[in-house]
Amino acid sequence: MKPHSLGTITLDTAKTPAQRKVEGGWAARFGKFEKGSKLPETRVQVCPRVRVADLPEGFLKQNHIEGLEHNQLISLCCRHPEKHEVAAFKSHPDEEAPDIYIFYCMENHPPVFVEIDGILVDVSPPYHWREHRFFCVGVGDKRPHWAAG
Amino acid sequence: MATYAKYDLFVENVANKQIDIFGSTDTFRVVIHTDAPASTTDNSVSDLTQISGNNGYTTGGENITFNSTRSGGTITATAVDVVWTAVTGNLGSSTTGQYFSVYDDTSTGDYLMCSFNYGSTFTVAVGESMTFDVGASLWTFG
Repeated sequence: MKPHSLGTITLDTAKTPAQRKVEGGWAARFGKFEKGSKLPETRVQVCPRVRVADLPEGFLKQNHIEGLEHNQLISLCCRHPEKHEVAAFKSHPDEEAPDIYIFYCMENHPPVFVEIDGILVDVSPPYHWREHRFFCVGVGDKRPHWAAG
Repeated sequence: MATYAKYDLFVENVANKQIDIFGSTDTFRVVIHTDAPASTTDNSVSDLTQISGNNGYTTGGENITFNSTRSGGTITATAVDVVWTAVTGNLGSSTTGQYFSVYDDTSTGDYLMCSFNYGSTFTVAVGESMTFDVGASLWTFG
């Protein structure tokens, strides 16, 4: 899928009480809950998985790109985000902007094809792509978002 | 930002001079835990169930290099990103991490400040990473 409708959202550092009320907090989302409660899963995907290389340079958060490039504890292939795919999520549908970005490295997982009756068939095992997650908890930074089709 | 839950007792601990949130005097750390924070009763990091301290995760979490400054009547808190990379096995041998909480490691009670909900459980498999991205600032007050 090719990305389109690119944009960014910058979260204000200061919000009025009215804004906070509209957003609601944990109490608005889950009510008061007891210790040991299991909260429902609320994470939703808001931007489809696309190739990083298909996005303009500088569009994604620079600290994400550099964080991958400079992380010596991950595989060499994982340090090349331009070869990754990326998707964006919200930890809760009511979030103002995406706050979770997941980069998928598939460099070390080439697909496996076998020829059956002259036709190449993808028999790749259910790969676990290497995922590099960024959970954005602060304010004042630009959050990229996109659509694809 | 991901909407955070402030621990109720945090404000009492600030008022009681147990937590210093101005400047960089106190050391604040972030932990990953599996239990939903009980914001009305949880007070110390020991009240939380952290993922195990192995495979790239250290019990007690990581220093976020917290600092805060004042401009006019507003205090702005900043911090640095924290990156965990799983080595040998799943980070913290966990498949059920979901929450991140910040606490004051300098305070005598390791008092909690706030918590963030990832919105789902997550597994950081070997060779994968999880970054707690603080952005331009963590919060403002004033």
